[in-house]
Amino acid sequence: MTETTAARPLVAGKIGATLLCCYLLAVAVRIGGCYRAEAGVRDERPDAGPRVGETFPTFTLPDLSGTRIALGDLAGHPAVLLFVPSLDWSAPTKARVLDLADAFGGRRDVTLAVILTAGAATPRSRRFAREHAIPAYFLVDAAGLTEQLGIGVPGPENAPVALPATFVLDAAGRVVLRDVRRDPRVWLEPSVILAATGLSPHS
Amino acid sequence: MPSPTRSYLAYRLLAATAAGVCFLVGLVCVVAFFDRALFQLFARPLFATDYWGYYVLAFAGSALVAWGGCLVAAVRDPVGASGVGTATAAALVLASILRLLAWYSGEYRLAADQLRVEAGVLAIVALGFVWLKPPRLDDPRVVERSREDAA
Repeated sequence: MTETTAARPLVAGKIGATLLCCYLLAVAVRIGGCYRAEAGVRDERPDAGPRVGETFPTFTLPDLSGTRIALGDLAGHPAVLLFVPSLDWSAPTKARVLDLADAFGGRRDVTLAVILTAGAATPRSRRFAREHAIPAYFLVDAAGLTEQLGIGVPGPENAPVALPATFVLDAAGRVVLRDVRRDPRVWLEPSVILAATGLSPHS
Repeated sequence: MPSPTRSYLAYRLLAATAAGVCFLVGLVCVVAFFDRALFQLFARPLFATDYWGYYVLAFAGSALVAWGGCLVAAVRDPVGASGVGTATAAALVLASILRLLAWYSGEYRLAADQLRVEAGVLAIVALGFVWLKPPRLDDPRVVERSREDAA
């Protein structure tokens, strides 16, 4: 084997590895904008759900352990209702829930409830909720609350899932902030949600 | 083709630094396991995980110490042990991909930017190993020269 023929595959391998490393670098730089929190409130389904100032419809839903939780159980101090499409296949939704849990963790003056449809309450969703020890009620909507609010859309295998929506309720159960989106990759910043509750940023 | 007179100083420095990091992280993982399993000297556990997590940490720590040993061989004899550089570059690329996938999964949200930075740094270090590594060579004169340099 001559020197030239030995060198060729060597350089080709180095170039291939270099291209792969450059691609990884580019992904590491660009992936930051792939999904994120933003400060602006969006309302991409204005006709859905209660408007700001209206009372949120009453509901009674089971949590992941089967205990039934009513809206009245959340009353007494501000509550954040987080409608999520899935905690199984939706990576940005998991990031959104963790973001909020990090901002609200340890606070006793606000209640956090994550609501997902019965079809989305898969074993992987349940495991996510259990493993991350998120200080929130995880409610399973088998009663059609999502459909009633008008934020239900067909998910994978046509099982209905909720659009990413956030409702902040005051202590009396009135809506003080609503944020309804079609795209789960950009969500509302927890600081904006906390500001809507009227509570101090520091518990 | 590598020159018999080259000593591959930059490659040796890179391998030595990587070996140091491997030893350090590996020992921390092993020590964390021993502390959790036997002694419990630290007031707070070093890692927020359960007993299976510590078991896997100890396994990974042992592998890192072994990897560090291989990199020391590459420092001592860069041409003779050039395969270590190839394997290290491949492992670094894999580690970079794992971090990006972890970021994308959403489950590691609270360490998000740290994962991206780590992935970028690992890709750059992998590039260093790819381009500084001496090619594998069957010429005994080059191997001999490399060993003389190391001595």
